[in-house]
Amino acid sequence: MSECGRLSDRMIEVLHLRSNWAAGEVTHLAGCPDCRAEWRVLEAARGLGAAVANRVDPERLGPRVLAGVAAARRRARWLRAGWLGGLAAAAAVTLLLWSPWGNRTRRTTPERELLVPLAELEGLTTQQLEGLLDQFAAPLGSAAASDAPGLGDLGDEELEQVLNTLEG
Amino acid sequence: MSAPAARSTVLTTDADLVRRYRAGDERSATTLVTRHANAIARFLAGSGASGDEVDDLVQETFVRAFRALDGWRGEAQFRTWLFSIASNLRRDRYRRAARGAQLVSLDGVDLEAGEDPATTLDAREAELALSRGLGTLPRLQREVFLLRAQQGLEYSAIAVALGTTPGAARVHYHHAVKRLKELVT
Repeated sequence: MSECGRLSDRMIEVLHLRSNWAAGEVTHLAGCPDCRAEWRVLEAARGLGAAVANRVDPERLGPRVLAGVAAARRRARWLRAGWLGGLAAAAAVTLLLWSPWGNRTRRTTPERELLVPLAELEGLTTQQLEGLLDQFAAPLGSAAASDAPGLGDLGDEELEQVLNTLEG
Repeated sequence: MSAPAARSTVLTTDADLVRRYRAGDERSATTLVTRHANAIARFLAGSGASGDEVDDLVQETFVRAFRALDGWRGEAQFRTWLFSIASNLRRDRYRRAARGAQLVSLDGVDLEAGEDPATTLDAREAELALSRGLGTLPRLQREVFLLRAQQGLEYSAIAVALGTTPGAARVHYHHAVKRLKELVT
């Protein structure tokens, strides 16, 4: 790793007061415009957003967060209750259809009709059917994602090569 | 607050506070908010959220965190986990709004009371240039840079927060620095 690359890692340590500059590092920094530019960026980054963040009052935020959690829990309970209500209603309708009052409906829908197979699927072999099922099982967009490897897919050596090109 | 009480607050770990909150102690939740709100707000402001958005997003980050505490197994730092939630929230909002990232407004670099305008002008200009530069970076590069430079996280923690690898985070960081150096200097 070049001296500039090594110093780049050290900058974060010094910036966040976890370490101090060594004498040799100060000398390098003084004579290297590229490293000085990086240090200037990092110093600006350290203070970035501080003015906006200072307007957030954690003392007031705590109770608001707790109220938000309670409200979200109430909403979840209400949704669950609504869902269970819907399920109960669906069960009631099903029972009604299967009860003596629902017989008329059953008579108009002979069982044989329900069992008529889909002609398109009937003509397929077992292998073709399995192929179709595999397509349903594959996650959406999986083919596109696998075609485009990200940095996370690269090995250490490949990442090192990329870094070397960045560091010049 | 007495000295022993103060010491006990400092020594209480995030994991302890989470455990107490789950046992019903709501004060532990407010302690966690007080401890981490500023860092989360700075991260969100740095990533382009406006002042009003920041307040709202910080609150929502904690609400989601406390509702999903089962998802935090203590392997990552609690704050790292919060960064992860904040990042996802910001991305969701951005997608929903279907508009470009808002740069930190000039409000974001207003002078604090008591600051000397002459001595802070250079630093403020650099911050403004940086916030503009960050707005031009891809989201992952921007967030990796902020977690590293603004928050001082190690690459391993950044990888956990943003769902990438430490090696990839390192490359994203150097890409971002290279670009920002051109814009800020």
